[in-house]
Amino acid sequence: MSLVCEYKKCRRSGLFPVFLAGGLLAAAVPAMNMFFRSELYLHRPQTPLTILLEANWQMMGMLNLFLVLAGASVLYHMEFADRAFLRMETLPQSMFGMFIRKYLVLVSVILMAFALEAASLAGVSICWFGMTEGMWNELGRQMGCLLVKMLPALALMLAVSSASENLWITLGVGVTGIFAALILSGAGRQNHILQLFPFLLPLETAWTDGRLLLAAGAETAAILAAGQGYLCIRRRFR
Amino acid sequence: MNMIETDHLTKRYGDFTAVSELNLHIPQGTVYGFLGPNGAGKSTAMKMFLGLTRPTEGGFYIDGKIFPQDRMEILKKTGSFIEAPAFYGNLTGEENLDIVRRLLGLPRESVEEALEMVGLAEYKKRLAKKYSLGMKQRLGLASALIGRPPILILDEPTNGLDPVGIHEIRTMIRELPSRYNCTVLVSSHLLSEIELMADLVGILNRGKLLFEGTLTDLRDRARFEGLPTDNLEETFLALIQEDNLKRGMRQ
Ligand SMILES: Nc1ncnc2c1ncn2[C@@H]1O[C@H](COP(=O)(O)OP(=O)(O)OP(=O)(O)O)[C@@H](O)[C@H]1O
Ligand SMILES: [Mg+2]
Repeated sequence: MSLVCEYKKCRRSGLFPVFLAGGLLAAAVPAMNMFFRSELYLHRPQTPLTILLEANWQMMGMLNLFLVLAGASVLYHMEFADRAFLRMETLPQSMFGMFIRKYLVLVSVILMAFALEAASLAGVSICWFGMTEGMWNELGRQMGCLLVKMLPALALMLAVSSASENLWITLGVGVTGIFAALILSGAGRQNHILQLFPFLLPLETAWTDGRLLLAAGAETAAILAAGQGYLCIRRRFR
Repeated sequence: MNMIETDHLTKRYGDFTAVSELNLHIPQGTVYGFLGPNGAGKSTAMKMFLGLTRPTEGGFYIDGKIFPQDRMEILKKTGSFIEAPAFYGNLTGEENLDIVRRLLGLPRESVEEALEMVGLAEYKKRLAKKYSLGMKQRLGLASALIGRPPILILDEPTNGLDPVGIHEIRTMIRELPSRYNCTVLVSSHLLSEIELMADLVGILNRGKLLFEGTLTDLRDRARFEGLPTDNLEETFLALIQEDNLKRGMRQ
């Protein structure tokens, strides 16, 4: 019931159009890449999906991260812009509950973008490489892994957004984080701790280790718990 | 029975005391006018009732419920409007109230009723960010009144309204206890305004409660202390001035 509220609040906020447009843009990346330079990729030994992800996911993942940044910003900016947050705080509901519901909204819209991207990857794969055995399986597994690896970044961005009434701080943190991930992406291949940097995690398709996925889950839980702690502390000091 | 009662309620920001040892007694079914100049601490006290800021010392209870243990219970029974309207600009007036309605678990009709009460029904389909100042104010009030809560905390509810609107809202507040059996705490800068709505007044200056009682009590006290009595506004100003002088001497 309250989750419905969270969706209703997003009307006309631009959240859904932005994720639709961003998802389509990211979906266009592999298609464009194959359209213009298929000769680069057609004769590699790996499976078609591996080739496509290696060639395009850095770009697609980055677009996804920018979408997450925009989504997280919108979700709390609409609370702060006309002080709606104040009214929400004086209603009998937990602010952490609201945070979790917003998190679910964010997960659901990124899921929508992922679906578009997966459809595009499948289409491009069939179009250029033909139907291959086990493609759907591999696609499902990869997108699932990527989604899990996206969860910490979603939590972190939403936590930052909820903590700063100033939109520019949220955007600044997000952009800095994304560029830091790009810089760190080389080093992350050797260092297992660096791999867990929330903005780096969803950029690498080769990391599908079960332990890493568990760690990503734990990291998400830790960030959400930190958000809860922050809310308690803030209440105490106001 | 007192609906709201505070016990040496105090709020300090650093070494500045915004609310000092406040002892309020607000009986059930009354309109209680909370009066004081800018910075007196009216909004701060009201925010403490809603758990938006924490008391530094002292405490209060509302309808027998104690803060902070029963905060959720208190919020369920309290409609509030603090300082300025709070709403989602990207939603219409109706959609805004619908969010509040859902979170409070109220029936669907309560939205329409709240809109009617503040005279906003005609504009319910317009985006809240496109509302005029007075319409936003009315939306804020509707959001406090929705579901007829037994306790209402209204901070300067007539801010930004035109004379007709001020009259309407005052009349509505005046009638709330008899129509819905609720208790209203309403703040203002103007005694003349409080005079028209309230059964009881509490006068606050620089965090301290100078007076609590009926308007008749206030006149009696003014007469007793040799303050002007022919116009209550002047009584109020003289009371504040006297207090400021007293404190000035101490410093
Ligand atoms: N978060 C805060 N930090 C520091 N000081 C504060 C804070 N909030 C309020 N104050 C101070 O507390 C005092 C009381 O403020 P409050 O808003 O309660 O006044 P008020 O009676 O509502 O005034 P007004 O009629 O202007 O609305 C003011 O001096 C204000 O500057
Ligand atoms: Mg105020």
